[in-house]
Amino acid sequence: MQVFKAFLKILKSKFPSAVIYIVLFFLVGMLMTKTEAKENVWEKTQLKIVVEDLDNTPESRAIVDIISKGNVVIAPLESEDDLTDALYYTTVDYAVTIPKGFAERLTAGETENLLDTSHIHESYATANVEMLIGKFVNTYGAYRLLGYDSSEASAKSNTALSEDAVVEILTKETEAKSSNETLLIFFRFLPYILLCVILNMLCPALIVMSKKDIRFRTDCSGIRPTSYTMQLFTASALYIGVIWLTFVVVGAALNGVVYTGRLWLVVLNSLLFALFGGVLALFISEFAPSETVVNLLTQLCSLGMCFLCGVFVDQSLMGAGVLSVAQFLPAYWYVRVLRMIGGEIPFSAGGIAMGLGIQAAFIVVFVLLTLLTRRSRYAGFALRKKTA
Amino acid sequence: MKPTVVKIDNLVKRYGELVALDHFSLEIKEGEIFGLLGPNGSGKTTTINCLLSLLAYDKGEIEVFGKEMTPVSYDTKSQIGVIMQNVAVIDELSVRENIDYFCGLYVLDKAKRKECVDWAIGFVGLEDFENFRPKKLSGGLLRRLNIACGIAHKPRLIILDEPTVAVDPQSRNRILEGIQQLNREGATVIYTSHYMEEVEQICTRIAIMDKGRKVAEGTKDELKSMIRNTESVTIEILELPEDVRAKIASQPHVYETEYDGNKLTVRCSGGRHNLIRILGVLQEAELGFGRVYSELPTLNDVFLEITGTALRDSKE
Repeated sequence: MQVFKAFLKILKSKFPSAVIYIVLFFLVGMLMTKTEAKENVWEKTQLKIVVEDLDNTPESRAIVDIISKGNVVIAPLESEDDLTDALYYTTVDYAVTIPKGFAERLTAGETENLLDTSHIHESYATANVEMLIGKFVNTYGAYRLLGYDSSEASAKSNTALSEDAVVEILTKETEAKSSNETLLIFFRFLPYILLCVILNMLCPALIVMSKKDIRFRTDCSGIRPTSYTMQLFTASALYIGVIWLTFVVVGAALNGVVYTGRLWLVVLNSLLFALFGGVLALFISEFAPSETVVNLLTQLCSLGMCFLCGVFVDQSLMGAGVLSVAQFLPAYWYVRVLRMIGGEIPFSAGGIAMGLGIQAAFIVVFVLLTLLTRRSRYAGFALRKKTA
Repeated sequence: MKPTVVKIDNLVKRYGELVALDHFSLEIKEGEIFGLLGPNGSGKTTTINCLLSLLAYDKGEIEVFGKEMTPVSYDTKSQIGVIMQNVAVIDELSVRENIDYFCGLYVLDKAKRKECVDWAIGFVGLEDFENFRPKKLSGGLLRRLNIACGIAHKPRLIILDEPTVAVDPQSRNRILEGIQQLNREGATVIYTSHYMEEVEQICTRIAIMDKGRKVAEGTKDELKSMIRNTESVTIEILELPEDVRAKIASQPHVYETEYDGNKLTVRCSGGRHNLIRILGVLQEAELGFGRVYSELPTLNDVFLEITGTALRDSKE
């Protein structure tokens, strides 16, 4: 078990670089869980608005009524300085003065600069008030055109604009997310972090063992190549297992979930993907690239695969062309299995088995490719001896 | 008669059109320090790689410890220690861990391995550095670690492929002394180098290689006796009339003279009092001269005479 032990020691020395990824992912995971919980609480925002009605007509009173619905109307302040201070310290959000002659101008069909307004910050709230005033002016104008007198037009405009719009969000966001759903979100982003952590740690460690001189010294020894390869594979599998288990356990803890029923399929799905990351690392390291190339390949594989296969962008939003290409990558099947479990697409045992099976097939293919490369690179030389 | 440890018979290795080993044969007996001497590209490393079954060859036979050497000769391989020119250690492991790892590829028993590792650390004098990482070691200490990794399992046959390249003189002497000590303790050693002084210093038998062929083999005295030159006399002299030079050239055993305007070189073949006779001619002609020195032939002279090229000037 010399190779196994030495390899674990090498992995240990590479661990600090992986810790950064893991900690960041857990922080983001925690943040996501908290954010998701808050996202479902909706509350109406009320603005504090100073309203001064100098016109005191049915039209001006109607506009005061509209503003007061859903907002807090504050009586005029003593001086202009007080108002400026109040706006500055945000004890007041908006100030409206209805000047004398407002009703006359409105009746005459004017629409511009009918009111004097003051505010400091441009925000959705101030825009909302201005929109409300604009709506009143237009609605009032429309009723007047229909032949209503000023009082009737004011009253009808007031009634029309007093009705709250019914807001219905036609997505899954309407319902409060269950713990299982936040867990699925956690697992949906897992491929990226798994690939980063596995490739960034496993590849450099494997490359150390594959260095020409180290390999030469090993080949000179009495150790059999199969034993050597098996020890390397076992140590790699152990490392992948520990990393994967950490994510599975922390994922459950962060989301307050106990794995039961279909959630075990999520766990199995992630295990297969972690193993794929491992065999990919084994394959890449066979070519003993430099550390820079490993970093480049890590980003290419992790980011590329995750963007293409629906880890970062929902598969339902992706084009058919992209998805047909993505089908040749294991992350696509990983996400597809998750979507089935999450109910985004119809669940079927066959579909799940296919998704998991294809990922397993990717693992087998890369193991075979790695073994083939090892054989051609190291063991093949002397075996090709010709007997003259 | 001592048993044969390594037997290479009629070995041919080609890289495309290039013939790296051309019907190369060799026999090394137990207890020898056998030197493979030759310029870069002469085929020394190729020979070693073929011997270790790390490289396929086109023709020939190789036997180690009386058995045919193949890639699956694990028992034979476990009795061989290899120290290459490049330092092959793992930067992520400490000195002790490195030696333990490479020793562990041969010695599975933990207690025995610990004994071997302790011995190897002591042998190369790395006791004070056993917890250091290789990157913290100086070049000389790194070479010693490289050697320790190759010998910790106490092999019967040790192959050293240019282990002193880019090593300071102090470390080089220590390495050479170490090799001799290993040999005294019973190991057979194959030592390849293009430094003739080293080979001359430690090897009991030497094969000179050039362009993939063995051009000469024997003890250093046997090799030197193969060539015409047995003594080179050099005299610093500013003026040398042609008649005096001719008289020197006509002395017994003198077969060549060379004069470059201030230095006369006289090459002799055999004879015992060549220097006295040459100086006698100069005194008779009443010519003044400066420093005088007499040199016995080196392996470089042997190489020069056999191949027509100086060892260190040879190109790959």
